[in-house]
Amino acid sequence: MTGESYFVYIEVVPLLLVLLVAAPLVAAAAATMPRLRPWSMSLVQAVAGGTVVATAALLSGRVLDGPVTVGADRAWLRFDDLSALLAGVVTLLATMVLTYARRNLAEDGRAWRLAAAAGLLLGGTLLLATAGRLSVLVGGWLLASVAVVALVGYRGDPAGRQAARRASTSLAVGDAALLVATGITLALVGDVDLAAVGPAVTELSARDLALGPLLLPAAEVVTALMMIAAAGRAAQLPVFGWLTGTLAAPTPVSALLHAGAVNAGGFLLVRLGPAVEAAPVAAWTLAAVAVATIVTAAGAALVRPDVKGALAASTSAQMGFMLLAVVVGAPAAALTHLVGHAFYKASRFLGAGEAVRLAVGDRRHPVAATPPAPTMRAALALGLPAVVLSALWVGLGLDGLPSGEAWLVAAAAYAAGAQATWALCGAWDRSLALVAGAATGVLLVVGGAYLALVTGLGVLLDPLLTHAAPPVDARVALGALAGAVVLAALAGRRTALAAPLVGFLGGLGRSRVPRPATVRAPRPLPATRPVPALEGSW
Amino acid sequence: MSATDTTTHPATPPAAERARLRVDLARAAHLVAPAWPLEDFVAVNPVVGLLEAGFDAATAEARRWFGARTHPGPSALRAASAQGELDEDDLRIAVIEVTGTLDGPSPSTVDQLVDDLLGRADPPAPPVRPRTALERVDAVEGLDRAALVDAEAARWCGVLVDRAHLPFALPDGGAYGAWRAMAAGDRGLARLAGWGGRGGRGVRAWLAALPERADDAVLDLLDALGVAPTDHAAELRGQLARLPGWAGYARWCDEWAPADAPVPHLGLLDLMALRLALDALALRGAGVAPGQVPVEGDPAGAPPVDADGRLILHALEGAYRRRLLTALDRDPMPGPAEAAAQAVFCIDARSEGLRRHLEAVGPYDTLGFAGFFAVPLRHRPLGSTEAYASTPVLLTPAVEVPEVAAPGAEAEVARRQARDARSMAAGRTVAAVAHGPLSMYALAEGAGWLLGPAAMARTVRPRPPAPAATAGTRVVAAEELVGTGDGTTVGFTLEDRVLIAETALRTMGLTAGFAPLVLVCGHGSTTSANPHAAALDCGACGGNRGGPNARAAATILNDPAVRSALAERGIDVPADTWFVAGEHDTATDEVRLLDADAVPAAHRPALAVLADDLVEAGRRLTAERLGRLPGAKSGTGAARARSGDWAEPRPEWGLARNAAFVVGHRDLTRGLDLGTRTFLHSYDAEADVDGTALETILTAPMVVAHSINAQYYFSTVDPDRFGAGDKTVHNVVAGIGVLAGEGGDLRGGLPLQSVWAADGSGHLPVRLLTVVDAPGDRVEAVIDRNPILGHLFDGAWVHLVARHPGTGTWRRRLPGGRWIAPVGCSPEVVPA
Repeated sequence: MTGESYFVYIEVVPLLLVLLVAAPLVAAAAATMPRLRPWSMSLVQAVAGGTVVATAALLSGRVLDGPVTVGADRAWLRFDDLSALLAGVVTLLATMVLTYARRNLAEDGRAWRLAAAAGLLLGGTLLLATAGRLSVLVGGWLLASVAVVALVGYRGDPAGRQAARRASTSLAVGDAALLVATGITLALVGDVDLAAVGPAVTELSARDLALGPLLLPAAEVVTALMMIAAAGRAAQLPVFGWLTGTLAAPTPVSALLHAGAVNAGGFLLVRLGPAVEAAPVAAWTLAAVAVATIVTAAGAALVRPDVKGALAASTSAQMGFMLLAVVVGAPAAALTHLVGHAFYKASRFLGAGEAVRLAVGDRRHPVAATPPAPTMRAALALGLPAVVLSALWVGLGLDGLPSGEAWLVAAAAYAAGAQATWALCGAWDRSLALVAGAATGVLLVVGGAYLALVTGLGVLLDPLLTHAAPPVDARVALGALAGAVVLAALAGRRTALAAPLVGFLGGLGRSRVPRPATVRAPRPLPATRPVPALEGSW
Repeated sequence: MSATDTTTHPATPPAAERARLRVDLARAAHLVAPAWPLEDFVAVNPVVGLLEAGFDAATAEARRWFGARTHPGPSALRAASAQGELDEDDLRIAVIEVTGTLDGPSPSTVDQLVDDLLGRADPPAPPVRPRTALERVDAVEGLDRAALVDAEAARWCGVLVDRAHLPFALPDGGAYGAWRAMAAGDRGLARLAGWGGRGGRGVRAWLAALPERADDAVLDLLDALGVAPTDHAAELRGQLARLPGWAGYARWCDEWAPADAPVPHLGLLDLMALRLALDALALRGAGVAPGQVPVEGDPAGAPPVDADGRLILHALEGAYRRRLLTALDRDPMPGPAEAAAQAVFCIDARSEGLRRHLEAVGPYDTLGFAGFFAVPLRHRPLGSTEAYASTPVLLTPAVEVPEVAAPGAEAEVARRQARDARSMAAGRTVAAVAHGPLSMYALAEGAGWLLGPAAMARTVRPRPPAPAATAGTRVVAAEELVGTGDGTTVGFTLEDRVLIAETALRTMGLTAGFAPLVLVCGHGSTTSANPHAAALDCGACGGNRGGPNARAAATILNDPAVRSALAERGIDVPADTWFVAGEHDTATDEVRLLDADAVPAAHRPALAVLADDLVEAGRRLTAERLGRLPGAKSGTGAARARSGDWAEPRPEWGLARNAAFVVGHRDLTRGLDLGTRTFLHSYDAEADVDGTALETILTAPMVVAHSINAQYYFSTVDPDRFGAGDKTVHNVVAGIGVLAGEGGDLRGGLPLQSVWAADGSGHLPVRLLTVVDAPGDRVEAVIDRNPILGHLFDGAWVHLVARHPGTGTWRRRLPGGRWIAPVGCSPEVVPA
């Protein structure tokens, strides 16, 4: 690019970045204005569509010219590859979900509140994604928190209000932790330039915090507090239930939350990668929490009889996996997961109503295949992926992957490959040779694509990711996870152990049963409208 | 404190006590209607158990036990007025009729009443007085423990119905036994009982001390709640009233579920044992001993009367009756002298629109008949291992009619099946990986990159899925041995086929004057991500698509053996008449012709013309329909997009606004725009002097129409209690029903969006008006022979209009059997 147009370009692009963040926030504010309410959904939808275009434009600007920044010296906003990834996900998702919501909630008299909250969530998340310094990032985080609560309770019905209260309590814990961490950081080392987290962490590591008689390493404390925030947003134990509670809100809200909002924790920790490395105690603790959440939430997902409840529980497990990936030093895997899971979960929620049709189809066409003998099947399921994935590993030249990344990716791919091979043996009515052949083909293509995707993303984002020794040994964490799952699976076949477990898991995530003596009877309601759930013009 | 402190377990209760409990429970269960799983979604009157009590008494019971609204409010008046279905005169007439005395109110008073009524807000739901022991304790203390029990009980019901998917074997003892095993780990129970810290052990001991059998447990627990044996029925009814959704499902399990039902059994006894156990725990938590539970003589007090509601209902029904009868009050309009084709449609109200437009497009004669076309079959789709009943639920068909490859198309069909098997295997593998606790991460990671664009495309440009292919297949209607060796016999015997054909033709009055082409047209609805899809399919086929029945009926009627047997019985179907099957997709108004490749060459040109005319008729009906759908764009493309739109909570209006069931020749209604509000059943009064056909029509299709009408009525007057509520928060549970949001009771009835729209264009709640084009004395004779008709007409569930035997003018039958003029002021119509 040369000449005059270049100068126009460098002046316009930072402006575009400001616009990217500001437009959804302005749209959110506009949506609340009484005169604009009838068009609020269209307005925010259009703005969301605009942010997709802006993100694409910024990405092309980034590719041509390096990170786009706003503010000299220490940038307020910076659009780098990591920003592009998160911004791409949330803008596309917001556009899709709002397009859906516009038709789905066309008659909801309070849809303007949803539109405003969605705009706020989009703006806050974009601020988080493009923040150039810690204080801005925290600002985006807090906006998104407020938006989550507003989204959940936007209808103002009793169930929605209760769910919003629950979400706000759970999120407030994390937000408070994040604020304290930020306060400590600002006090000790000043605002952190997110392009230079490493030096700030080094500086912080040299300081100690005096807490009464205790002298705590500042880096550990700050990181631990940030991890609390990340875990809370990612619906990890023990604040696991708020996410299930949000099912009181309509389907599009669930899609936005599960696909968009819960990811912020993973993004935060990837962005602050060096801090994670400097805090081994906190990292090991988070790994333990993540493993516990994965096992529990995956169990709850199996037990929940309702489609959306199972999806919600599985989100916690998936987010646990993402956090685990961060602390074992596999940020590229964490980011691949963030993107993939976001779209996966959004489409599962939006299509949740298919459950009845699918169940009938499944039942009317049951598996006709007679699976091979269990030992043969197990040998194939365990052996085939090992062989194929090893071949792919060598073929794609992945020997050089950092250890955490390598272990995590290999383990995830292997687990999926083994499960797929096992399932295919029982699902397809063909000879063992044909099934094995098909499985090999699928593993080669899908496994190859998966490995290429994760490692390719790692290469693209490489300059932004940290490469010091990961705080948590992936082998230990994955071993613990696999062990726990195998134990749970074994226990799951013994009625005496499993039946009470179902009672326990099924009850997880519900709002805590209060002591009966504290449950006040509701006051008689004033004369209600004919249709309390929706406000319309009767 | 041991578990036996409050629940003392005496020796096994004698058989007499168990028997009495069953009687009490059966009596209590009248309050709730059975609820079919969503895949069938059979329409039921939600207070069908109280049918014999009559509309007024049944709705009074519903108000006092459920706190439900049972009558339309002023908002329904405004909606009707906005739709042009009611004006102030209608209201004035209603006011005069209802408040009617000899003097009557003065005109100014009437006007004032009318204004007042139109401007008023809907009344709140009637209050409910304590119904259960726990509610009475709550009432004393101003607490709401019963709501906690509801939430927990509902949660457990979901788990119990879904228990077939659990990876381990549950102990015997049905749902109750399974619950006892699983509840041991539930920490919520300990909190309910106020056991706090030592919760786990306390709960386990308490559960272990409960009797093995659900009925014994219910008896023990009723004791523990301090309920005297004489109050058992009332307590049980109160318990059911607190969880009507799951109670309805339990009733279905007990009374309607086939032996090989694909879902585990959750009976009323199981439900009661579970609920009462939770109540007993909550009572412990309250520290109230069984003897201290307040007792109330009449658990729910006197039934409140909704006087305004009765007036409004009366006005809505009167307005509609006047409009319909005014339209019908004319000379019959004969059909085309030489019909190019006859078309038999389902009585479904939506068929009225297609019939009207088809007749306007070309020289066609149309008929209405229950959409299973009198073929009581179990259909097995191609490649399916399961056959389902495709008939009204009152029938239990024994004969299976499978879909198989047609001669000559075996190879093509086999290829298609192999392709389907491959995609099923792929789908199952993906599902297994998605659920594996170690494999789901890589799957979500990878699949998301593919599903994301697909979801985006589906959102931005919705398209309906392709219908299941029927090319190259046929349905086996005539008896045949399928499979080799120990194969099974499917299809109907010749005798059955002749009977089916004769019943169908005689009942609809088509015994002569056959056109060269007769279309037998079922219907179904294609919608996307819609748990209530079956509610839009054919009710006469038990909530399934009507295509297979239409195919079977056409096959039977084309059968030369059947034809010659019919000729012997006096029905001469000309040799050059061909019956062709079709299926009307009510979401897009496209009619798919089925088995068209089997049509003889001589009929092909006529069929091509018919196909074109059906397209044009469908196009016109779509334009009419989309005009009534809020927010709809116009054009067939818009209808298709709406049909395939996974975001659309109202793909079509279904049977909303249904109001009347007209039994008569098409000449009676031809050319009239009845606004897709009427079920039209063909009937030839002259050929049915003894009333046999009329008896069939009134006792079978009309009862189905009443069920549909009542379902729409109650879902409209109380969308929260009788309807499924807002569709956008629905959450499918155990594959059989929906919850609203995270938990709570199973939601029966129709979704809010199926009966209501923000612009007031939704359903107008009126009771079914049956118009019979036959002399009243013949109708009266039929009523005398059939108690169900007595309940429906004398109980004021259905209104009846027929001809005066002498003058031939329309007369209206009042409950009890008095016939009066149908239109105008009739003060005695409404009992005081």
